[in-house]
Amino acid sequence: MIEMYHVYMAYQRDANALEDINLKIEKGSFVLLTGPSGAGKSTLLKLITCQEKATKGQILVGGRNIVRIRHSSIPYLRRNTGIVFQDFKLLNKRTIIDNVSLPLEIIGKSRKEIKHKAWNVLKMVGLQHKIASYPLQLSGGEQQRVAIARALVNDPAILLADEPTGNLDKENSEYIMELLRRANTKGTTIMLATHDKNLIENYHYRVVGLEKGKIISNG
Amino acid sequence: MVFIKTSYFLNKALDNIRQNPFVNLIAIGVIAISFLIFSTFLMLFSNLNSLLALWEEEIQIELFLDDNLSGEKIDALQKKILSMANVKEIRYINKEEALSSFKKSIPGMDVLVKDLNNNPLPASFEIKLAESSKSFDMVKAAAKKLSTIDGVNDAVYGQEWVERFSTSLAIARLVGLIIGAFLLMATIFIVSNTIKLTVYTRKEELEITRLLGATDRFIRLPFFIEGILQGLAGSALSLAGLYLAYRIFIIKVSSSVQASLVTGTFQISFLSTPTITYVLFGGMALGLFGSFISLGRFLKV
Repeated sequence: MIEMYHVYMAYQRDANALEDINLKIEKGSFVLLTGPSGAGKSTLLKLITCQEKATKGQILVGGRNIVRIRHSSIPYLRRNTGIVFQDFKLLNKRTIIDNVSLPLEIIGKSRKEIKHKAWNVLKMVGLQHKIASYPLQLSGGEQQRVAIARALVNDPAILLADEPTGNLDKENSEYIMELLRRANTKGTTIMLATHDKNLIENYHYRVVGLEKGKIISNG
Repeated sequence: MVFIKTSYFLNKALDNIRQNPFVNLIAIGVIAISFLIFSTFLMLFSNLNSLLALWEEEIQIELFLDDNLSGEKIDALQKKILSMANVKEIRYINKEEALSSFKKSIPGMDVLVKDLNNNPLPASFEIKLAESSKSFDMVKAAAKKLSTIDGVNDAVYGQEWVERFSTSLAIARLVGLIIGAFLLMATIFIVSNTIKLTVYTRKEELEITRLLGATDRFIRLPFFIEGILQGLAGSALSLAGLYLAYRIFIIKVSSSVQASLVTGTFQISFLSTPTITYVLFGGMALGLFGSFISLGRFLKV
Protein backbone atom coordinates (compact mmCIF):
# COMPACT_ATOMS: atom_id res chain seq x y z
CA MET A 1 0.00 0.00 0.00
CA ILE A 2 2.81 2.37 0.93
CA GLU A 3 6.35 1.93 -0.34
CA MET A 4 9.36 4.16 0.25
CA TYR A 5 12.70 3.81 -1.48
CA HIS A 6 15.79 5.73 -0.34
CA VAL A 7 13.69 8.67 0.80
CA TYR A 8 15.44 11.76 2.10
CA MET A 9 13.78 14.83 3.44
CA ALA A 10 15.43 18.03 4.64
CA TYR A 11 13.73 21.15 5.97
CA GLN A 12 17.08 22.93 5.83
CA ARG A 13 20.21 22.19 3.90
CA ASP A 14 22.62 19.71 5.51
CA ALA A 15 20.06 18.78 8.16
CA ASN A 16 18.12 15.73 7.10
CA ALA A 17 14.84 15.21 8.89
CA LEU A 18 14.70 11.81 7.23
CA GLU A 19 17.59 9.83 5.83
CA ASP A 20 17.50 6.88 3.45
CA ILE A 21 14.10 5.58 4.48
CA ASN A 22 13.14 2.25 2.97
CA LEU A 23 9.77 0.98 4.05
CA LYS A 24 7.05 -1.28 2.77
CA ILE A 25 3.62 -1.30 4.35
CA GLU A 26 1.25 -4.01 3.21
CA LYS A 27 -2.36 -3.42 2.44
CA GLY A 28 -4.54 -3.95 5.50
CA SER A 29 -1.69 -3.85 7.98
CA PHE A 30 -1.42 -1.91 11.24
CA VAL A 31 1.97 -0.33 11.83
CA LEU A 32 3.22 1.61 14.82
CA LEU A 33 5.81 4.24 14.04
CA THR A 34 7.84 4.93 17.17
CA GLY A 35 10.73 7.00 18.34
CA PRO A 36 11.52 10.05 20.46
CA SER A 37 10.17 13.42 19.47
CA GLY A 38 12.14 14.89 16.62
CA ALA A 39 12.90 11.45 15.21
CA GLY A 40 10.95 12.19 12.04
CA LYS A 41 7.68 10.36 12.68
CA SER A 42 5.45 13.28 11.76
CA THR A 43 7.59 14.17 8.77
CA LEU A 44 7.26 10.65 7.46
CA LEU A 45 3.48 10.79 7.72
CA LYS A 46 3.44 14.22 6.09
CA LEU A 47 5.29 12.82 3.09
CA ILE A 48 2.49 10.33 2.52
CA THR A 49 -0.14 13.10 2.40
CA CYS A 50 2.08 15.44 0.36
CA GLN A 51 2.14 18.04 3.13
CA GLU A 52 5.89 17.83 2.70
CA LYS A 53 7.96 16.90 -0.30
CA ALA A 54 10.76 14.37 -0.25
CA THR A 55 14.06 15.87 -1.34
CA LYS A 56 15.21 12.51 -2.72
CA GLY A 57 13.82 9.05 -3.29
CA GLN A 58 10.56 7.52 -4.42
CA ILE A 59 7.28 7.07 -2.57
CA LEU A 60 4.46 4.90 -3.88
CA VAL A 61 0.99 5.11 -2.41
CA GLY A 62 -1.46 2.56 -3.78
CA GLY A 63 0.96 1.94 -6.64
CA ARG A 64 1.19 5.58 -7.56
CA ASN A 65 4.41 7.58 -7.35
CA ILE A 66 3.58 10.68 -5.35
CA VAL A 67 6.98 12.36 -5.42
CA ARG A 68 6.27 14.01 -8.71
CA ILE A 69 2.54 14.44 -8.22
CA ARG A 70 0.90 17.54 -9.69
CA HIS A 71 -0.39 20.11 -7.22
CA SER A 72 -3.90 19.73 -8.60
CA SER A 73 -3.85 15.95 -7.99
CA ILE A 74 -2.97 16.17 -4.31
CA PRO A 75 -6.60 16.65 -3.11
CA TYR A 76 -7.63 13.39 -4.77
CA LEU A 77 -4.75 11.56 -3.08
CA ARG A 78 -5.80 12.95 0.31
CA ARG A 79 -9.40 11.87 -0.14
CA ASN A 80 -8.19 8.31 0.03
CA THR A 81 -6.21 8.94 3.22
CA GLY A 82 -7.79 9.69 6.58
CA ILE A 83 -5.70 11.73 8.99
CA VAL A 84 -5.94 11.95 12.79
CA PHE A 85 -3.86 14.48 14.73
CA GLN A 86 -2.73 14.77 18.31
CA ASP A 87 -4.53 18.13 18.62
CA PHE A 88 -7.67 16.81 16.83
CA LYS A 89 -7.83 19.74 14.37
CA LEU A 90 -11.59 20.02 14.46
CA LEU A 91 -13.40 23.12 13.25
CA ASN A 92 -14.51 24.67 16.52
CA LYS A 93 -17.15 26.90 14.95
CA ARG A 94 -18.91 23.92 13.44
CA THR A 95 -21.04 21.27 15.08
CA ILE A 96 -19.86 17.69 15.46
CA ILE A 97 -22.01 16.44 12.61
CA ASP A 98 -20.80 19.29 10.39
CA ASN A 99 -17.19 18.41 11.18
CA VAL A 100 -17.74 14.79 10.25
CA SER A 101 -19.69 15.80 7.13
CA LEU A 102 -16.89 17.96 5.76
CA PRO A 103 -14.97 15.24 3.86
CA LEU A 104 -18.23 14.21 2.19
CA GLU A 105 -19.10 17.82 1.32
CA ILE A 106 -15.67 18.13 -0.26
CA ILE A 107 -16.32 15.24 -2.62
CA GLY A 108 -19.77 16.61 -3.41
CA LYS A 109 -22.04 13.92 -1.97
CA SER A 110 -25.74 14.64 -1.75
CA ARG A 111 -27.08 16.12 1.45
CA LYS A 112 -29.07 13.01 2.22
CA GLU A 113 -26.11 10.71 1.80
CA ILE A 114 -23.91 13.00 3.89
CA LYS A 115 -26.38 12.98 6.76
CA HIS A 116 -26.78 9.23 6.62
CA LYS A 117 -23.05 8.43 6.51
CA ALA A 118 -22.04 11.03 9.08
CA TRP A 119 -24.63 9.78 11.54
CA ASN A 120 -23.56 6.16 11.04
CA VAL A 121 -19.91 6.87 11.64
CA LEU A 122 -20.69 8.99 14.72
CA LYS A 123 -22.73 6.11 16.04
CA MET A 124 -19.76 3.84 15.45
CA VAL A 125 -17.58 6.03 17.72
CA GLY A 126 -20.41 6.29 20.26
CA LEU A 127 -21.22 9.98 19.85
CA GLN A 128 -24.56 9.89 18.06
CA HIS A 129 -26.14 11.79 20.97
CA LYS A 130 -23.71 14.72 20.58
CA ILE A 131 -24.15 15.57 16.92
CA ALA A 132 -25.38 19.11 17.60
CA SER A 133 -22.62 19.95 20.12
CA TYR A 134 -19.53 21.95 19.30
CA PRO A 135 -16.04 20.47 19.66
CA LEU A 136 -15.07 22.62 22.63
CA GLN A 137 -18.09 21.34 24.55
CA LEU A 138 -16.65 17.81 24.40
CA SER A 139 -13.88 16.16 26.38
CA GLY A 140 -10.52 15.49 24.74
CA GLY A 141 -11.31 11.82 24.29
CA GLU A 142 -14.64 12.64 22.67
CA GLN A 143 -13.01 15.18 20.36
CA GLN A 144 -10.52 12.59 19.21
CA ARG A 145 -13.36 10.18 18.53
CA VAL A 146 -14.97 12.86 16.37
CA ALA A 147 -11.66 13.25 14.54
CA ILE A 148 -11.52 9.50 13.93
CA ALA A 149 -15.10 9.54 12.71
CA ARG A 150 -14.17 12.33 10.30
CA ALA A 151 -11.12 10.39 9.09
CA LEU A 152 -13.15 7.25 8.47
CA VAL A 153 -16.36 8.70 7.02
CA ASN A 154 -14.95 8.45 3.50
CA ASP A 155 -13.93 4.79 3.92
CA PRO A 156 -10.31 5.65 3.11
CA ALA A 157 -7.82 2.95 2.16
CA ILE A 158 -5.23 4.43 4.52
CA LEU A 159 -5.53 6.04 7.93
CA LEU A 160 -2.60 8.01 9.32
CA ALA A 161 -2.64 8.89 13.01
CA ASP A 162 -0.04 11.23 14.47
CA GLU A 163 0.10 10.73 18.28
CA PRO A 164 -3.69 10.30 18.46
CA THR A 165 -3.54 9.35 22.14
CA GLY A 166 -0.88 11.90 23.08
CA ASN A 167 -3.32 14.17 24.89
CA LEU A 168 -5.54 11.45 26.35
CA ASP A 169 -5.67 9.41 29.53
CA LYS A 170 -5.33 5.61 29.59
CA GLU A 171 -9.02 4.84 29.34
CA ASN A 172 -9.63 7.16 26.41
CA SER A 173 -6.46 5.95 24.71
CA GLU A 174 -7.71 2.41 24.88
CA TYR A 175 -11.03 3.44 23.38
CA ILE A 176 -9.25 5.19 20.51
CA MET A 177 -7.04 2.15 19.91
CA GLU A 178 -10.11 -0.06 19.87
CA LEU A 179 -11.75 2.16 17.24
CA LEU A 180 -8.63 2.02 15.10
CA ARG A 181 -8.42 -1.75 15.51
CA ARG A 182 -12.00 -2.09 14.30
CA ALA A 183 -11.28 0.09 11.28
CA ASN A 184 -8.24 -2.06 10.57
CA THR A 185 -10.24 -5.28 10.66
CA LYS A 186 -12.51 -3.75 8.03
CA GLY A 187 -9.49 -3.43 5.75
CA THR A 188 -8.09 0.07 6.37
CA THR A 189 -4.30 0.23 6.38
CA ILE A 190 -3.22 2.09 9.50
CA MET A 191 0.00 3.90 10.35
CA LEU A 192 0.15 5.27 13.85
CA ALA A 193 2.99 7.44 15.11
CA THR A 194 3.53 7.33 18.88
CA HIS A 195 6.16 7.55 21.53
CA ASP A 196 3.87 5.91 24.10
CA LYS A 197 5.67 2.81 25.45
CA ASN A 198 2.43 1.28 26.81
CA LEU A 199 0.88 1.32 23.39
CA ILE A 200 3.83 -0.53 21.91
CA GLU A 201 3.85 -3.12 24.66
CA ASN A 202 0.11 -3.70 24.93
CA TYR A 203 -0.64 -4.10 21.24
CA HIS A 204 1.24 -6.57 19.17
CA TYR A 205 1.44 -4.69 15.97
CA ARG A 206 4.41 -4.30 13.68
CA VAL A 207 6.71 -1.60 15.07
CA VAL A 208 8.95 0.62 12.96
CA GLY A 209 11.46 2.52 15.09
CA LEU A 210 12.86 5.86 14.03
CA GLU A 211 15.71 7.82 15.51
CA LYS A 212 17.34 10.98 14.18
CA GLY A 213 15.61 10.49 10.87
CA LYS A 214 16.72 6.92 10.29
CA ILE A 215 14.94 3.61 10.66
CA ILE A 216 16.61 1.73 13.50
CA SER A 217 14.21 -1.17 13.85
CA ASN A 218 11.67 -2.71 11.55
CA GLY A 219 9.72 -5.75 12.55
CA MET B 1 -26.52 18.82 -8.85
CA VAL B 2 -25.00 22.07 -10.05
CA PHE B 3 -27.79 23.94 -8.33
CA ILE B 4 -27.23 22.12 -5.04
CA LYS B 5 -23.53 22.93 -5.20
CA THR B 6 -24.11 26.59 -5.95
CA SER B 7 -26.42 26.89 -2.97
CA TYR B 8 -23.85 25.04 -0.87
CA PHE B 9 -21.11 27.53 -1.73
CA LEU B 10 -23.48 30.46 -1.35
CA ASN B 11 -24.38 29.22 2.12
CA LYS B 12 -20.72 28.85 2.99
CA ALA B 13 -20.06 32.41 1.85
CA LEU B 14 -22.95 33.68 3.95
CA ASP B 15 -21.62 31.70 6.92
CA ASN B 16 -18.24 33.37 6.45
CA ILE B 17 -19.85 36.78 6.43
CA ARG B 18 -21.87 35.95 9.52
CA GLN B 19 -18.80 34.66 11.32
CA ASN B 20 -16.72 37.74 10.50
CA PRO B 21 -19.26 40.57 10.57
CA PHE B 22 -16.77 43.30 11.51
CA VAL B 23 -14.27 42.65 8.75
CA ASN B 24 -17.08 42.33 6.24
CA LEU B 25 -18.66 45.58 7.34
CA ILE B 26 -15.33 47.32 6.82
CA ALA B 27 -14.98 45.90 3.33
CA ILE B 28 -18.54 46.83 2.41
CA GLY B 29 -18.07 50.31 3.90
CA VAL B 30 -14.89 50.92 1.94
CA ILE B 31 -16.50 49.79 -1.30
CA ALA B 32 -19.53 51.94 -0.53
CA ILE B 33 -17.45 55.07 0.09
CA SER B 34 -15.32 54.73 -3.01
CA PHE B 35 -18.33 53.92 -5.13
CA LEU B 36 -20.14 56.90 -3.66
CA ILE B 37 -17.36 59.20 -4.84
CA PHE B 38 -17.23 57.38 -8.14
CA SER B 39 -20.96 57.51 -8.83
CA THR B 40 -21.15 61.13 -7.71
CA PHE B 41 -18.67 61.89 -10.47
CA LEU B 42 -20.70 59.79 -12.88
CA MET B 43 -23.85 61.68 -12.02
CA LEU B 44 -22.12 65.03 -12.31
CA PHE B 45 -20.77 64.18 -15.74
CA SER B 46 -23.98 62.77 -17.09
CA ASN B 47 -25.80 65.91 -16.00
CA LEU B 48 -23.18 68.27 -17.39
CA ASN B 49 -23.29 66.28 -20.61
CA SER B 50 -27.01 66.61 -20.94
CA LEU B 51 -26.74 70.30 -20.11
CA LEU B 52 -24.22 70.64 -22.89
CA ALA B 53 -26.51 68.70 -25.20
CA LEU B 54 -29.33 71.07 -24.31
CA TRP B 55 -27.18 74.04 -25.18
CA GLU B 56 -26.12 72.40 -28.37
CA GLU B 57 -29.79 72.00 -29.13
CA GLU B 58 -30.44 75.69 -28.61
CA ILE B 59 -27.34 76.96 -30.26
CA GLN B 60 -27.74 79.34 -33.17
CA ILE B 61 -25.55 81.61 -35.18
CA GLU B 62 -26.22 85.30 -35.40
CA LEU B 63 -24.97 86.98 -38.53
CA PHE B 64 -24.63 90.76 -38.23
CA LEU B 65 -25.02 92.46 -41.54
CA ASP B 66 -23.33 95.52 -42.94
CA ASP B 67 -25.45 98.63 -42.70
CA ASN B 68 -27.06 100.05 -45.81
CA LEU B 69 -27.66 96.76 -47.58
CA SER B 70 -30.55 97.00 -50.01
CA GLY B 71 -33.70 94.93 -49.61
CA GLU B 72 -32.89 92.82 -52.68
CA LYS B 73 -29.41 92.19 -51.47
CA ILE B 74 -30.76 90.99 -48.12
CA ASP B 75 -33.26 88.68 -49.84
CA ALA B 76 -30.51 87.27 -52.03
CA LEU B 77 -28.29 86.71 -49.01
CA GLN B 78 -31.07 84.96 -47.16
CA LYS B 79 -31.73 82.62 -50.08
CA LYS B 80 -28.06 81.92 -50.51
CA ILE B 81 -27.56 81.04 -46.85
CA LEU B 82 -30.68 78.91 -46.70
CA SER B 83 -29.44 76.90 -49.66
CA MET B 84 -26.34 75.89 -47.72
CA ALA B 85 -26.40 72.23 -46.80
CA ASN B 86 -26.44 72.44 -43.02
CA VAL B 87 -28.73 75.43 -42.53
CA LYS B 88 -32.18 74.51 -41.32
CA GLU B 89 -33.81 77.82 -40.52
CA ILE B 90 -33.05 81.44 -41.08
CA ARG B 91 -34.82 84.50 -39.73
CA TYR B 92 -34.19 88.11 -40.63
CA ILE B 93 -34.17 90.69 -37.86
CA ASN B 94 -34.11 94.28 -39.00
CA LYS B 95 -32.55 97.15 -37.10
CA GLU B 96 -35.80 98.20 -35.41
CA GLU B 97 -36.54 94.70 -34.16
CA ALA B 98 -33.03 94.44 -32.86
CA LEU B 99 -33.43 97.67 -30.92
CA SER B 100 -36.77 96.75 -29.41
CA SER B 101 -35.62 93.33 -28.31
CA PHE B 102 -32.54 94.97 -26.85
CA LYS B 103 -34.79 97.30 -24.88
CA LYS B 104 -36.90 94.41 -23.73
CA SER B 105 -34.02 92.22 -22.66
CA ILE B 106 -32.39 94.86 -20.52
CA PRO B 107 -35.04 96.88 -18.70
CA GLY B 108 -33.98 100.42 -17.77
CA MET B 109 -31.84 100.67 -20.87
CA ASP B 110 -34.63 102.34 -22.84
CA VAL B 111 -33.88 105.62 -21.10
CA LEU B 112 -30.39 105.51 -22.41
CA VAL B 113 -31.36 104.35 -25.87
CA LYS B 114 -34.09 106.95 -26.25
CA ASP B 115 -31.56 109.73 -26.53
CA LEU B 116 -29.79 108.13 -29.49
CA ASN B 117 -30.31 109.89 -32.79
CA ASN B 118 -29.80 106.86 -34.87
CA ASN B 119 -30.11 103.14 -34.22
CA PRO B 120 -26.62 101.70 -33.61
CA LEU B 121 -27.71 98.08 -33.80
CA PRO B 122 -27.13 96.21 -37.04
CA ALA B 123 -29.68 94.08 -38.83
CA SER B 124 -29.01 90.38 -38.50
CA PHE B 125 -29.89 86.83 -39.46
CA GLU B 126 -30.62 84.19 -36.85
CA ILE B 127 -29.56 80.85 -38.22
CA LYS B 128 -30.42 77.43 -36.88
CA LEU B 129 -28.33 74.57 -38.13
CA ALA B 130 -29.54 71.09 -39.06
CA GLU B 131 -29.49 68.50 -36.23
CA SER B 132 -26.57 66.68 -37.74
CA SER B 133 -24.34 69.76 -37.73
CA LYS B 134 -24.85 70.91 -34.18
CA SER B 135 -21.62 69.82 -32.58
CA PHE B 136 -19.50 72.72 -31.47
CA ASP B 137 -16.82 72.05 -34.02
CA MET B 138 -19.33 72.10 -36.85
CA VAL B 139 -21.00 75.24 -35.56
CA LYS B 140 -17.63 76.87 -35.34
CA ALA B 141 -16.78 75.90 -38.92
CA ALA B 142 -20.16 77.03 -40.21
CA ALA B 143 -19.84 80.38 -38.43
CA LYS B 144 -16.41 80.92 -39.91
CA LYS B 145 -17.69 80.16 -43.39
CA LEU B 146 -20.73 82.41 -42.97
CA SER B 147 -18.66 85.32 -41.73
CA THR B 148 -16.75 85.41 -45.04
CA ILE B 149 -19.89 86.01 -47.09
CA ASP B 150 -20.00 89.42 -48.71
CA GLY B 151 -22.28 91.77 -46.79
CA VAL B 152 -21.81 89.92 -43.48
CA ASN B 153 -20.00 91.86 -40.84
CA ASP B 154 -19.63 89.27 -38.11
CA ALA B 155 -20.82 85.81 -37.02
CA VAL B 156 -21.50 85.17 -33.36
CA TYR B 157 -22.58 81.98 -31.62
CA GLY B 158 -21.50 82.56 -28.04
CA GLN B 159 -18.30 80.83 -28.95
CA GLU B 160 -16.16 81.87 -26.06
CA TRP B 161 -18.15 80.56 -23.14
CA VAL B 162 -19.40 77.51 -24.99
CA GLU B 163 -15.86 76.61 -25.92
CA ARG B 164 -14.65 77.29 -22.43
CA PHE B 165 -17.41 75.17 -21.02
CA SER B 166 -16.74 72.24 -23.29
CA THR B 167 -12.98 72.36 -22.68
CA SER B 168 -13.45 72.55 -18.94
CA LEU B 169 -15.83 69.62 -19.21
CA ALA B 170 -13.17 67.68 -21.09
CA ILE B 171 -10.59 68.55 -18.45
CA ALA B 172 -12.97 67.62 -15.66
CA ARG B 173 -13.65 64.36 -17.44
CA LEU B 174 -9.93 63.62 -17.57
CA VAL B 175 -9.45 64.54 -13.91
CA GLY B 176 -12.45 62.41 -13.01
CA LEU B 177 -10.98 59.52 -14.96
CA ILE B 178 -7.66 59.81 -13.15
CA ILE B 179 -9.31 60.12 -9.74
CA GLY B 180 -11.58 57.22 -10.64
CA ALA B 181 -8.61 55.06 -11.62
CA PHE B 182 -6.80 55.81 -8.36
CA LEU B 183 -9.97 55.20 -6.42
CA LEU B 184 -10.45 51.90 -8.19
CA MET B 185 -6.92 50.76 -7.37
CA ALA B 186 -7.26 51.85 -3.76
CA THR B 187 -10.56 50.02 -3.47
CA ILE B 188 -9.17 46.84 -4.99
CA PHE B 189 -6.24 47.07 -2.61
CA ILE B 190 -8.44 47.51 0.44
CA VAL B 191 -10.96 44.90 -0.60
CA SER B 192 -8.26 42.35 -1.31
CA ASN B 193 -6.70 43.09 2.06
CA THR B 194 -9.93 42.77 3.97
CA ILE B 195 -10.58 39.48 2.25
CA LYS B 196 -7.05 38.44 3.09
CA LEU B 197 -7.93 39.26 6.67
CA THR B 198 -10.95 36.96 6.59
CA VAL B 199 -8.77 34.31 4.96
CA TYR B 200 -6.30 34.77 7.79
CA THR B 201 -8.87 34.45 10.52
CA ARG B 202 -9.90 31.18 8.90
CA LYS B 203 -6.41 30.01 8.04
CA GLU B 204 -6.53 26.96 10.27
CA GLU B 205 -9.94 25.94 9.02
CA LEU B 206 -8.74 26.20 5.44
CA GLU B 207 -5.65 24.15 6.17
CA ILE B 208 -7.76 21.43 7.74
CA THR B 209 -10.16 21.49 4.82
CA ARG B 210 -7.21 21.19 2.49
CA LEU B 211 -5.85 18.20 4.37
CA LEU B 212 -9.22 16.53 4.03
CA GLY B 213 -8.81 16.66 0.26
CA ALA B 214 -10.48 19.90 -0.75
CA THR B 215 -9.54 21.26 -4.16
CA ASP B 216 -8.47 24.87 -4.71
CA ARG B 217 -11.84 25.51 -6.27
CA PHE B 218 -13.71 24.19 -3.24
CA ILE B 219 -11.75 26.49 -0.95
CA ARG B 220 -11.79 29.56 -3.15
CA LEU B 221 -15.36 29.58 -4.39
CA PRO B 222 -16.92 30.75 -1.09
CA PHE B 223 -14.39 33.60 -0.97
CA PHE B 224 -15.21 34.62 -4.51
CA ILE B 225 -18.89 34.63 -3.67
CA GLU B 226 -18.11 36.56 -0.49
CA GLY B 227 -16.23 39.15 -2.55
CA ILE B 228 -19.08 39.44 -5.03
CA LEU B 229 -21.61 39.87 -2.22
CA GLN B 230 -19.45 42.50 -0.54
CA GLY B 231 -19.13 44.36 -3.85
CA LEU B 232 -22.86 44.17 -4.47
CA ALA B 233 -23.73 45.35 -0.97
CA GLY B 234 -21.15 48.14 -1.09
CA SER B 235 -22.19 49.49 -4.48
CA ALA B 236 -25.90 49.22 -3.61
CA LEU B 237 -25.23 51.14 -0.42
CA SER B 238 -23.38 53.85 -2.33
CA LEU B 239 -26.27 54.18 -4.78
CA ALA B 240 -28.74 54.45 -1.92
CA GLY B 241 -26.58 57.14 -0.31
CA LEU B 242 -26.24 59.04 -3.55
CA TYR B 243 -29.98 58.85 -4.20
CA LEU B 244 -30.68 60.23 -0.74
CA ALA B 245 -28.25 63.09 -1.31
CA TYR B 246 -29.82 63.70 -4.72
CA ARG B 247 -33.34 63.94 -3.28
CA ILE B 248 -32.23 66.36 -0.58
CA PHE B 249 -30.36 68.42 -3.17
CA ILE B 250 -33.37 68.55 -5.50
CA ILE B 251 -35.67 69.71 -2.73
CA LYS B 252 -33.21 72.41 -1.67
CA VAL B 253 -32.52 73.54 -5.22
CA SER B 254 -36.11 73.63 -6.45
CA SER B 255 -36.92 76.01 -3.59
CA SER B 256 -34.13 78.31 -4.60
CA VAL B 257 -34.98 80.79 -7.36
CA GLN B 258 -31.42 81.61 -8.13
CA ALA B 259 -30.62 78.06 -9.10
CA SER B 260 -33.58 77.84 -11.45
CA LEU B 261 -32.28 80.95 -13.20
CA VAL B 262 -28.95 79.30 -13.80
CA THR B 263 -30.29 76.00 -14.97
CA GLY B 264 -33.34 77.32 -16.81
CA THR B 265 -35.45 74.46 -18.10
CA PHE B 266 -32.75 71.97 -17.24
CA GLN B 267 -33.60 69.28 -14.70
CA ILE B 268 -30.89 67.52 -12.73
CA SER B 269 -31.44 63.80 -13.12
CA PHE B 270 -30.29 60.76 -11.17
CA LEU B 271 -28.16 58.04 -12.75
CA SER B 272 -29.91 56.20 -15.55
CA THR B 273 -31.02 52.60 -15.08
CA PRO B 274 -28.23 51.20 -17.28
CA THR B 275 -25.66 53.21 -15.31
CA ILE B 276 -27.08 51.89 -12.04
CA THR B 277 -26.76 48.37 -13.43
CA TYR B 278 -23.18 49.06 -14.47
CA VAL B 279 -22.33 50.39 -11.02
CA LEU B 280 -23.80 47.29 -9.35
CA PHE B 281 -22.01 44.94 -11.73
CA GLY B 282 -18.87 47.01 -11.30
CA GLY B 283 -19.11 46.50 -7.55
CA MET B 284 -19.48 42.75 -7.97
CA ALA B 285 -16.58 42.59 -10.42
CA LEU B 286 -14.44 44.61 -8.04
CA GLY B 287 -15.26 42.31 -5.11
CA LEU B 288 -14.51 39.26 -7.22
CA PHE B 289 -11.24 40.72 -8.42
CA GLY B 290 -10.28 41.73 -4.88
CA SER B 291 -10.82 38.22 -3.56
CA PHE B 292 -9.11 36.75 -6.61
CA ILE B 293 -5.85 38.59 -6.07
CA SER B 294 -5.92 38.12 -2.30
CA LEU B 295 -6.28 34.35 -2.68
CA GLY B 296 -3.83 34.07 -5.54
CA ARG B 297 -0.90 34.73 -3.26
CA PHE B 298 -2.31 32.57 -0.50
CA LEU B 299 -3.21 28.91 -0.04
CA LYS B 300 -0.38 26.88 -1.41
CA VAL B 301 -0.02 23.86 0.86
